[in-house]
Amino acid sequence: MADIYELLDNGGQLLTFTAGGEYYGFYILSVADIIEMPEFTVIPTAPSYVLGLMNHRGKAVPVMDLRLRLGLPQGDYDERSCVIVIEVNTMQCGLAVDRVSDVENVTAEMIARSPVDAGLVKGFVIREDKPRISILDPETVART
Amino acid sequence: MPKFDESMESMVDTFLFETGGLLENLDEILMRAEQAEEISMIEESDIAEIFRTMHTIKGSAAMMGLQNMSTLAHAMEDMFFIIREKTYVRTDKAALFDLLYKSSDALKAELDDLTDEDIPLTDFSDMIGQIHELAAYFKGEGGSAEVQGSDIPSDIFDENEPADMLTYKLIYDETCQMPSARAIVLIRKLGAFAEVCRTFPADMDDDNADSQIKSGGLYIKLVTDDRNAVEKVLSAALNVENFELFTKDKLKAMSGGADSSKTSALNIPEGVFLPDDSEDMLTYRVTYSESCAMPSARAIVLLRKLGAVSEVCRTVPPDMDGDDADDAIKKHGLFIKLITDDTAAVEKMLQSGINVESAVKVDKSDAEKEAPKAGTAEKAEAQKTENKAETQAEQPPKPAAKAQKKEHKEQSMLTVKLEKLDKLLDLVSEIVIAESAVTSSPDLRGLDTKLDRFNKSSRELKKLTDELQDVVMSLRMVPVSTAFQKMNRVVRDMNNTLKKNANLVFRGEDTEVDKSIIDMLGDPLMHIVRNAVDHGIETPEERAASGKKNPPTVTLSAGYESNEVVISCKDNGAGMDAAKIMAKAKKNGLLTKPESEYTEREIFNFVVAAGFSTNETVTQYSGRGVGMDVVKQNIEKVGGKLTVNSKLGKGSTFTIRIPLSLSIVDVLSVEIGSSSISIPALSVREAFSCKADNVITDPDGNEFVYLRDKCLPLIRLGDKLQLETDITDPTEGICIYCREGAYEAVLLADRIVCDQQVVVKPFSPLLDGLHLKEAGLAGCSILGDGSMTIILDMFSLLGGETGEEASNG
Repeated sequence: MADIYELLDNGGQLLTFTAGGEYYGFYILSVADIIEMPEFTVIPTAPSYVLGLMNHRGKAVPVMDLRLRLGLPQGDYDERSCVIVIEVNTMQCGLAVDRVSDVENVTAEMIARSPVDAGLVKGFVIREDKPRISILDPETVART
Repeated sequence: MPKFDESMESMVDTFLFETGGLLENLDEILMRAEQAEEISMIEESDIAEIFRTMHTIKGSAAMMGLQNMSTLAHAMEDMFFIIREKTYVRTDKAALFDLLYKSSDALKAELDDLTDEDIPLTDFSDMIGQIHELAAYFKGEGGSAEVQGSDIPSDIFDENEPADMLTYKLIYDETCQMPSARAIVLIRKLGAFAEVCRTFPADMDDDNADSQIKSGGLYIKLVTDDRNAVEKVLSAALNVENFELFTKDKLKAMSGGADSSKTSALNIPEGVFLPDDSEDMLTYRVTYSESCAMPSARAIVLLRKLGAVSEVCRTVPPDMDGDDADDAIKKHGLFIKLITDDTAAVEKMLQSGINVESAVKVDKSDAEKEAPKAGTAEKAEAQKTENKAETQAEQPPKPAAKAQKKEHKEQSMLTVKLEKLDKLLDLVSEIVIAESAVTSSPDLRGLDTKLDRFNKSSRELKKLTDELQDVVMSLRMVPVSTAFQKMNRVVRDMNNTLKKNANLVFRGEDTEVDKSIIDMLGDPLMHIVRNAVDHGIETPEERAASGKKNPPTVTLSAGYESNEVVISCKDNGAGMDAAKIMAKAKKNGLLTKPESEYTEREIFNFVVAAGFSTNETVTQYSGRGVGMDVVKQNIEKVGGKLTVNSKLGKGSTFTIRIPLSLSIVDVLSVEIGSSSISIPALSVREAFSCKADNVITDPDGNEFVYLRDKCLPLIRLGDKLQLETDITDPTEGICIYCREGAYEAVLLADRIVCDQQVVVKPFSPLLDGLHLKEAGLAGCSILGDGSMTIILDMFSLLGGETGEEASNG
């Protein structure tokens, strides 16, 4: 199980992607899969950021819209939109993002920790001439 | 310090699992055996089974280095030996079974605590003492049952042994529980510096090895180049009190110069020398080293080799494939009778055989000389070892039969890790989906060619995958009887102490539920049953006083209700007093609304709140008010519910409802807008088209459907589930009249799609925060074509806690 604090303490690889024009990253070890936009089954009564359930290898995996989950305005999906499947305590959750950009090596020194403990974002990678990456905590993002 | 040998760390899981299983099994047999009126009437197969179980536990515990468990199991085994061989003169069935249950519980508790290093190993010596006492009582003896002769083994010095063979005598200290186990470790260690040839007692796995070592000491015979190293190992060995080099002179001195110089006690069994053996026939006695697990197998190889240089006429034991061949070879050695021209080659071959310890030529005269001596030795041994000797020598068919039976039993069951099954189930679902993707591929549609053969094969494939899916799904299902059976024991124990004579009745025990539910059920059920017997059932006097003639009964029943497993425990005891509970709840400050607003049902459910016990006195079984709280929490952990109902003077019912995870349900699938929704078919009474004048709207805006003299609330699924649909007029859609428990309603959907069987998958725990169950959703299901449907939770939807105010639509 990939622990987000392992990344914050020791550095590691980040899978970066964009949602609503901003760059975000997941610790690579918490990412199980990247797939193209699947078909969803709407979950009745669920809030709008829960897109529904997808059939991912025989499992009913919930999918959330990352933009709405982060409180950003809704956007349209295009052919580069995809779903990142993350794994939290052996449970899977899909997150629809605008596009996946890169896998980057970051060291512990490059990460500025977020002072907020329970937030969705656990830290930031700030480098010159490059866009800022917010490191997301998969557990907090996936739990509703 | 870890409780078990470090090298055994990896075996702990297996040990826990196996021994746990054995103990469960033991309880069941004990229950059955207890039904017998007299100990002498207990089924022999049951006794044998108990005996075997204890033997296995003893062995594996000793292997793990758990001396305490091993000794206790040993004591129980001894007890059953007496029963099996019917050597008892008096019996005391009640005391026996009490002790046996106690011991089995103690072993179970020890297993539970095993992985917790903070809890020390329990000292079972009290219990062992009790068992020994009872065993002595059975045998009609007052004191210790079997006094071991502390004599030196007569055959310690073999005439034919090489001169440089050293003999060490080791004395273990008295606290050492299983010196034989220590000895095995020690001998293994010695193997690094020396060649251990023989030991006395010869067989460390033998039941009597311990007592022999304790009384006479352990003799190790070895050949070594490095005496210092050997002696260092010996002195460093665990629990060894002292050791000394033992010589023939010492032996002579000790035995008072008696004629012990001739000590090669070859126990030559009958049938080695037959009168009609030819003169030139040679007889060899081959002994195998202790470490040789299957001398019979070695013997077969050896005999085949010998065939090249000699003619092998006979062997004793005659049949190497016989189950008792190993025992016989270990005990007496292997006798080979052969005719050869080249004695030297034969002897060389014999000596070089794998695991062969010694190969000696035996003469007839030897046998004659030995005959009287061997006879007495055997007798002495028979007395000493009483149990083992008999089973090994005189009744060889018995252990053989036992071994065979055990094998059969093991083969009919297979334990598999649950994860593997889950994985298999996932794979099968994927196969089913892939299958339909292939056979109904859009690419096939435009083809002009005939697809007769393809269609035929794909139908065949579909049939097979369907069957595969059915089989795999049934794998995880276990009948609830496994959980129910354990309650027999609980009730039996309580009857003994509380004298309430409660009967336990099962209903629907073959209801199959997912394995994980069974595992989770054990604890809550036990608490509830205990509660029912302790609080629910009255004493026989009280029952007589209140004029109850029916026997006190606790009924456990299981069944399906919509997509839940319902397990209830009903007693016909005193029932609960709502007023008393209310008063207590008030005192404990549990009320959240005015007293008058509580319904009876709500009041009874206080009983399962934390720290609630109306019992004034805390008994052995219940009364602290902790149990039911834990029960409730455990059940809620798996998404279940615990409800209580009661009638004063008539009895109480505790009902557990647990959602069927991974179980197959019949559903009626409907569409609302573009969403597929499935209604559990068990709740559906009828589907009908509604006429406009049958829809009633009351001044408050509540909608009802009038159906055959009944006025039923109308639930528009589109509104209720916040799904967009164009059909808002009840007359355009389809009405489905549903009933779940006491709740009834008419659901409005757009159209019915089909009825089908689906596997309910609960929503991912990640979605717990959305309270989907309260909103009336039970889970989802992946259909054969890969699409999904949402399954409704009828209980919450129709009447449940949150359903009522929303049902206004």
